[in-house]
Amino acid sequence: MKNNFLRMLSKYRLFVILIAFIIIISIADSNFLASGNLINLLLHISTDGIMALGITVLLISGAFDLSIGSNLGICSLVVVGLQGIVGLPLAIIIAILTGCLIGLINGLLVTYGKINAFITTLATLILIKGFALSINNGSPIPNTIPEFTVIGVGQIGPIPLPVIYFIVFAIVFWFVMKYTSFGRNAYAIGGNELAARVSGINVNLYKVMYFVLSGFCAGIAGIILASKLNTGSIIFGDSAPIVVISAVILGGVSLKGGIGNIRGAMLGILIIGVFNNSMNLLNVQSYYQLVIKGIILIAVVQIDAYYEKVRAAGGLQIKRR
Amino acid sequence: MESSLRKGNKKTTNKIAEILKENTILMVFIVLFIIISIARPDTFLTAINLINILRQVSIVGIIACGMTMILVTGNMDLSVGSIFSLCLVIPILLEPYGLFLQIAVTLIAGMAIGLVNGILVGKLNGNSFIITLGMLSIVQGLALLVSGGRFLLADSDSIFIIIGRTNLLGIPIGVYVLVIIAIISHLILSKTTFGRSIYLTGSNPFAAYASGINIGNIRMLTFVMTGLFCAVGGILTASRIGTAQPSSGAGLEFDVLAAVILGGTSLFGGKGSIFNTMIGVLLLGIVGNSMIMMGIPFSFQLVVKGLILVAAVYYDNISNKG
Repeated sequence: MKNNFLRMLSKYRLFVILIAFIIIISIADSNFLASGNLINLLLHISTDGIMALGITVLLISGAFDLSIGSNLGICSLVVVGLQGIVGLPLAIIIAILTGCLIGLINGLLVTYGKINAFITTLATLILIKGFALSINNGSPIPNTIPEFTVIGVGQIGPIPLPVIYFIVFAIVFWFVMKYTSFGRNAYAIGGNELAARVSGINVNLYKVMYFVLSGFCAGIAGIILASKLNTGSIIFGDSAPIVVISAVILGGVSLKGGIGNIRGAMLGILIIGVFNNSMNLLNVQSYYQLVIKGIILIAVVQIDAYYEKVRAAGGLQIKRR
Repeated sequence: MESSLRKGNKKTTNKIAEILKENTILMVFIVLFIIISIARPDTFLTAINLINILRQVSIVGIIACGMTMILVTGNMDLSVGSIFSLCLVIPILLEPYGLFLQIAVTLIAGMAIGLVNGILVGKLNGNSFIITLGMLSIVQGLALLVSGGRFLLADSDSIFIIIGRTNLLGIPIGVYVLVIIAIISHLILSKTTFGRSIYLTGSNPFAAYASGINIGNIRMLTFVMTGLFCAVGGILTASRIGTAQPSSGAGLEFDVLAAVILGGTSLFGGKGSIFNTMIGVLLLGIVGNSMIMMGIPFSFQLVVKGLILVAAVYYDNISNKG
């Protein structure tokens, strides 16, 4: 009986954490449950959430991407900087391609160059930042075309467009990861790369595709953010890696690869979103927020390591997807 | 007779190839040094500029000694830049309390952060990359908190500043500290049981564990030493420039990592030496120096550093295979 309860608690721990958080925060600040704040919360997590989707797939396949922040920043610069020259539609396409290209470079370096994913993406992070700082001397570029702001500021009824993109993306990713070979191969490669290779999966090709997907998501997030804030700047993505990675790992995606799902990652990003929102509501100084974000990341990774141990020992049976 | 002679010849060529292979980074450094000296004899190859380069690399070099040990155990520390920032701020904040407290508290703070990293990675088996990424954020927040986010200014007549600006025989004190720390680290790594345990922990943790080495403690100690070295770097910088900006260490981890990996320390653990790390540090130092002299903007210097890091890791992979 007790064992069953523990098992349930372990299975739905993210829901429990989320609901506990919401209850505590609603008591601490009654403004939290106001519909305006809840929509604001969703709007706030939408860009991080889209990046989290890409990272989830990448982590499941056993790789990693630190460069998403810089990638987001440079795509926001590209879309705003080029729209006056080549027109809006083409600028958006070029920005998305930029994101994909960075993902492609990461992927090729990791698979064919056989360079550690952490180091590769750390290097591309600084490399992209260097390029971005040479654009417009590192200053933010203001948006000049009014139509562009519709992407990030427009609404359908009371719901902002970025939230809708986020939900659509999440559903597509959930479907792809659950029902297509593209998704299943990520689990296979992350779980046991050699076995995946032997059973005929073109591991390198898929790994590159997952990196491109992660870059694509960062590019989309960059465009939305540039439109929402009416500027393009490289500093937009500075905290993205920490926030996105802690959310995804909190959502049960393992750093070791092969384990995790989209639903968990989305719950993770919701929890982090609620947490950040409440810190702002409770007037926590931004310096403390830096400290707290770091502590969350470390705590989450330690919990992940603990569950890894439990899994290895065959204790609690945790559903794979 | 003839065949044995040929064998002998083959042996010597093999030996030369081996020496070349083991000292690639030294060769690259010497060649680059000669090229830059020929290209810019009047500006590069002057005593003032060379001492300047040594002074510029001293901080990266000191921290790189610790980072080498961490990498040899197969781990990674991304929080060194933040620890440096915090240790830059503390001595200037503590100026009214006297020299001893300034230095002691800073060193303890650096070691304490290293200890937390070490416990999380060594004892609790966290992924060092993510743990120290989190710690980067935490310590950066702490540095901003204790300084209030302000740009701090020291009293330029205090003993702390006077010591920091001392030149012995025309060479800044930071260079002496670098040399001392490098020699001590080299001796630790190559001559002590602790040093050999570091290599064994990195190259084969199971064998290390089976032969009675407490691998958790070894990993922890490397992080503590790195924290200590960051504190030394912070104190030296604070006492020389007399000002502290709470985010000035941002990106330092990148320079340190690039130097260490360039020096041939393997990301897979078990391989690396302080001597080669120092060559890596100097190599990056002369590249940075000549880029500044050529007027290359900061943004492109970042690009070049990124490229160097990728190239170094790629080379590491190739040479590990062969």
